[in-house]
Amino acid sequence: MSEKEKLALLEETFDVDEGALNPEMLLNDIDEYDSMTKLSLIVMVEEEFGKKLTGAEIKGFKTVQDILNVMV
Amino acid sequence: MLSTISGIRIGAVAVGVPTKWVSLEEQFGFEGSGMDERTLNKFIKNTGVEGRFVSVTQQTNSDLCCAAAEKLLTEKQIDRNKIGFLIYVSQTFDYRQPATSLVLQHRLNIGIDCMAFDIGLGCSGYVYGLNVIGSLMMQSKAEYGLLLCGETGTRDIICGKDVSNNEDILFGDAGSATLLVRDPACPDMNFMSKSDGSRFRALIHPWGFYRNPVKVRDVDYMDGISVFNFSTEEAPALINDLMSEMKSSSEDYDYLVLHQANKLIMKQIAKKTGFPEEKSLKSIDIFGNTSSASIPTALVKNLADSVKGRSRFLLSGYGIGLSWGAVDCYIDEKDILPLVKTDEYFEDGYQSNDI
Repeated sequence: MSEKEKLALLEETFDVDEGALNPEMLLNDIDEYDSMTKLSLIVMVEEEFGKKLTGAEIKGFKTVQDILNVMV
Repeated sequence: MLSTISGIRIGAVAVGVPTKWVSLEEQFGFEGSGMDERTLNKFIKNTGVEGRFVSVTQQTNSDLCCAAAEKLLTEKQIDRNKIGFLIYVSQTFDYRQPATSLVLQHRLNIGIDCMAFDIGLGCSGYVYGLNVIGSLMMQSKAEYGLLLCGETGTRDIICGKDVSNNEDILFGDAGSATLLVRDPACPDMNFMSKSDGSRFRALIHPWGFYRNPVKVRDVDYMDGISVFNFSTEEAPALINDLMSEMKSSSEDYDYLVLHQANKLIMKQIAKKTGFPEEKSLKSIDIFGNTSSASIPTALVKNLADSVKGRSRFLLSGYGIGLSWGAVDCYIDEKDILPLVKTDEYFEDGYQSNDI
């Protein structure tokens, strides 16, 4: 999956407009990245990439890139 | 662990709620409510909660259970001296001592040839309660058992591990009553149950009791991500284990009734156990998450008007403890009674010698 496709998936999960996210963005600065989004993120990563994110992993995410890195 | 109960069946189910229903829109859909529109809409979309029943200040969960039980016992014309077991499953008790079940026995005029006691469990409580009361009835001669489960969840403030959580608006108030009946000809109830105390911190209200007597904060703590991962992993695994023991599949059941945790969790569990969404009964939209009453609320909301006879159910509860269970059982849909609404509460008349 290309980075562009992964970003599109993340935008869908975050429920933000197409093109709203870029890899350098700090998650703390994204209003939509709340507890509900984190649960949707777990579901998306499990369904698309077959792995279950833990609370510790999610806590470790600082940027959008950090999430893209586990989407393999 | 698999357990089988023979000769005992669910004979009636009723649910009691307060009369006041508050929509989240009404509660938070205005400027200065503490929640912006986007967050509110997203919460409603993901959890499925549109509103909750909210009890009046003096009302406790036992009042809701009592109203449900009264309706059930009257409707089914049950001889109250033949109820051998009364079990109250909850985490919201009337008193620190004695057990709430004893007060309920008195209020419901149930005879003294009865074992009345409480079980302190949350979301797994309904399935655990059925297992315990069924087992006790099986090894006794009691004609009936009465299982009362529920919570006044709107009283609790939930504090998420990660900030900006809104879990406290997830929970609603409801009390249920389930009648268990001796019936030698009925099909077995088969249970699968698990507990994992090593994860007791995932959902906890640590203050104001014996371990930590000082009430630092009056809140429940929830590690939302751990609980979400637990619910979407362990619950489907347990249901699949039970179906494999029963040599059954989702096609053999008329309904899947999951603890109404939130829509996202229920959807994941149904998917992982092969149940189509339409077989999975929901009540979270109107009732919110009502802990051990949530399975009965889903039965009542969807099937109270049904004229169909006996159907096969797979019920599963999972949560605080951590504790989880599932049961394969049959219920006659005509035995599921319409919702009972009440604002009545018990005035215990207790006067302390100290005051």
